[in-house]
Amino acid sequence: MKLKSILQAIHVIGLLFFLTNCDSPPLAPIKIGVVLPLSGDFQIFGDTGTRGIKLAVKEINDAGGLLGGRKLELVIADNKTDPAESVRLARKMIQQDNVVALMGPVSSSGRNAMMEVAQEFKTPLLYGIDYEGGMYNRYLFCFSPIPDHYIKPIIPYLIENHGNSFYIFGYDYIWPHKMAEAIKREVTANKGTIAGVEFTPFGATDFTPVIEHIHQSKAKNLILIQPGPDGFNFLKQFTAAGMKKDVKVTAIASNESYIGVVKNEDLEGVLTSLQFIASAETPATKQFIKAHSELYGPESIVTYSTDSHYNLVKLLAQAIQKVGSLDKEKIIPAMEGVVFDTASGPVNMRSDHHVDLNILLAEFTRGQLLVKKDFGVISPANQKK
Amino acid sequence: MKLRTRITLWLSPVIIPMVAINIIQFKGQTEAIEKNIKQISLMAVENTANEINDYLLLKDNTNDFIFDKLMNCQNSISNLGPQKDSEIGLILKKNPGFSLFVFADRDGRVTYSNTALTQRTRHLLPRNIKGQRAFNDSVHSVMLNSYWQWKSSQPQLNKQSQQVRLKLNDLTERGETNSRLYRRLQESLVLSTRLIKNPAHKVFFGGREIIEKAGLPFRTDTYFTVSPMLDCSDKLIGYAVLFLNWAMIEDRLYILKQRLKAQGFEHARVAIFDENKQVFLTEAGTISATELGRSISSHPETSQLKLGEAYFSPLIDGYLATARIADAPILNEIEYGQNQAIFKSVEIAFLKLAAKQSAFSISVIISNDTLIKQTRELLIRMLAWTAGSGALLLILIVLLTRGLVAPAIVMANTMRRIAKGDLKQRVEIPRNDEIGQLASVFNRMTDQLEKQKVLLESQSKTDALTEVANRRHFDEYLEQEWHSAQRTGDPLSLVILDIDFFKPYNDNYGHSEGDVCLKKVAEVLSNLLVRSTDVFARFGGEEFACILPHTNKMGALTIGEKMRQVIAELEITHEYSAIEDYLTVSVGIATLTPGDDDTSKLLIELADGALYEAKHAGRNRVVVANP
Repeated sequence: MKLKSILQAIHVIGLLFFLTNCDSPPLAPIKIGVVLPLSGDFQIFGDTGTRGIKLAVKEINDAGGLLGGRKLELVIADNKTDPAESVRLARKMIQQDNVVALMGPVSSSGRNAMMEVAQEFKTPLLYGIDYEGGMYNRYLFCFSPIPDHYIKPIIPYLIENHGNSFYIFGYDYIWPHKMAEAIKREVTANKGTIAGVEFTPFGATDFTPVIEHIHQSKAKNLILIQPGPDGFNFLKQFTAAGMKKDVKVTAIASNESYIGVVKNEDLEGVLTSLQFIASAETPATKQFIKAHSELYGPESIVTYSTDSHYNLVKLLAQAIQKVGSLDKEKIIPAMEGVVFDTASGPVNMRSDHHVDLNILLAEFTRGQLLVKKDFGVISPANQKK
Repeated sequence: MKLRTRITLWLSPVIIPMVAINIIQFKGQTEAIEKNIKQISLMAVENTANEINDYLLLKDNTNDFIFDKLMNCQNSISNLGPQKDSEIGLILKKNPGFSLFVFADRDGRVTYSNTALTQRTRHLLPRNIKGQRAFNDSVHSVMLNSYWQWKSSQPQLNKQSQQVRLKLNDLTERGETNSRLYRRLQESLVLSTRLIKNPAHKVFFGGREIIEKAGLPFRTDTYFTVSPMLDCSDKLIGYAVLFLNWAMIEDRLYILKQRLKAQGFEHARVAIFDENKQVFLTEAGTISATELGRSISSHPETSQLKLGEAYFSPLIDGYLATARIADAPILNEIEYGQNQAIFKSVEIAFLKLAAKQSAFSISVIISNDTLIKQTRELLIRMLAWTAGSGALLLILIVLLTRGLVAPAIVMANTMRRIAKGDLKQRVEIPRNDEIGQLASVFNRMTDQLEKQKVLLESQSKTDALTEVANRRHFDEYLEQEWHSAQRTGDPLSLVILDIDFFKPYNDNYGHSEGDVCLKKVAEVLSNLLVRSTDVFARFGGEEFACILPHTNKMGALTIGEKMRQVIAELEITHEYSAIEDYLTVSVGIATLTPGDDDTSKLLIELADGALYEAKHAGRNRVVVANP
């Protein structure tokens, strides 16, 4: 009788607990705001970046989410490469959607604008595109190749292999200007010469004068800082003018997304330098490409933007898990010093919110972007200044 | 009723006050949670409304300042030149809170725009909005009317102004510059002077189209102020328009949300609502404008609009706290309206007006889920407490029954066995308390009983004088052995012996000597028997009998003869014996293998017969019966 009554009591209590718990709401998702250009000149960077973000989120959610089963949820919006739109979207995502972190954008002016929103509302901003460097903010985290990463190793390589005179040509806005300065510094330091520097506004169509200038300068190298449709057009005209046999083209930030959009002959021999090349013969890269093609199909393009945005989500997830809550002020220091595995090997998020990266030199060869040289892990100077 | 049930029944009512206390506490705390929700949401929303109202008032004053700076009848409204452009830029930078400044021509088309370089707008890519409409037709007609009104009222304004001036001069001459009247007149003069110089500017709410076109980082309506621009002959040449930075209002709502979050209201919703148009002015998520409108205007008890109180609205399934913020008409009223608030304490009048007449309000909605979630947590805690105390009570009952009832049951069971005759049973309760004492007393009692029983048993089988088996034991034993012999088919022998001439012995030596003699005979003869199965008994007065199981005639004869000899050899003096001068016995022996139908009586009769023969034949001899 004793045992029976105890069992009955336990039963009743258990039933009450069950009743009080059975209709408890599902765990609230953890929201991440993504502000990327999904239309316009930089669309390809936004599209490939978004794919990387979605892949990482899917992997994390499939593995059970974070903080005891809370799923990640993305709030994605197109900023149309407009800084004002980036600001508006970032504000909306923080104020209305209660995101724990922001990701994006692509252009440097957009990043600077969004960074101020991030700082004002104390929300981490995860940036995954190469940029001019030198930007430190408590709320900004960059998984970005900066000039220290690839300009420094590539200039001596170009001087040794292709000659010591350089012509720089790019879009007329903050990033190409800053890049040009970094290139000039390196060329001078390596006893090379700058044959010319030229910038053009967005939307230019006729590059004949530019090509003529380059021809007259007798430069052996051209550094092209013009990603997007205008740059594609330039490469076409440059090839048609027969310039490629005399001048080696290094197209900054050119990547796998150029293939198929730009004709193979126009791309042939163009160099680029990034932390991730999809055709790299490493197990980690192959694994990443496999996961990517399982989700998006084998035809979908994978670029360094896919890789870096994917890695940023993993970094954030690791920090959230470490902190055990969504307290943004605690997540920020928790991201510093996190070492996480990437397709290009383990990466450390440094205290200046930049990363040491393994940098590859790649060349467009018969419609493929192939690794030509591995510069190894490159650690840029402290960007905190 | 069993003791165990009784204890349980007695103790179980203790659970009632336990549960009652928990229930009372639960109810109290639930009410406290609800009260807390209402108080905090109301306080938070009223604070924010006050902040926004203060902010709007401050910006309204800044409006005046900016327009005063820019109003100059020589101003052009287009082709301002870099000098004027940077001047406007600087004014906007030094007086933050506005996002866009526009000059528009008489048709309301933008001729010049300047995006204020605030934190939020400095990354804007400047967009050309020249030729766009700065405001809509209704704003335009309001402004035109106001201009013509101003035109027509100018002579009167001039007259009024002149009168006030004269009165002020009077007062100054009389040295009454500190009087209340003087100050009122002075303020009146300031206002009329301004009104004479320029027609009133007006505040509106809207502008979404032009804001979107200018690429501002918000895409909603906002407060904007329109001021007519006049040339030096008071002809209307266009308008200056100043747009409030709506992001500042949004930020205040966000801060409100953060405050509520810090108070534990994770998912509080906050929105600015226009009661006239029944629309939200800020992002409001999933709340329906109609339902919120009805909830605001209909308090559940009075069905009337009620501010200054938070309440539950079933329409939105949540707690609602609302406070008014000034709309455009209020902002206009404060400046030039009949209230003439400028002559009273501006802030107080303004706030009162805003609270009473404004169509704009901020609402905080705390979903019922919050209460449900918090009360569920409370309920679980309460249940855990109740369960815990219930479990404690159960343990108490178990321990009590184990300590009291279990030994009682053990003792009852033992007693039951003892009652059945098993006096070997004892209670094993090694305890020092009353229960242990009871058990040991019980055991001592049982010891006594067992001793008494053993004694009684032996007494009932023994002859008191000779201390050999008595006749009753003899009968029982014979019967037992008779049946045994019947089963086994073994022979059973009976020896009966009688002291010869015992009556004369008794008569002459006395009864006590006779008893001594009997005792001696019994002692000697019983010692002769070595087998445990043999029983020697006193059969009658001076008669003894001996049951010899599994003994044939020869064996019995040997024993009988031995007995006779032993007594003779004792040579107990018996002078009165007719045959010898010492004591002798006669012995009758019978041996039978009992048949199924025979009784033990037969054996006794046979042995008796043999004894009779022995007596008859002269005594001191042994006769064996022949069946």
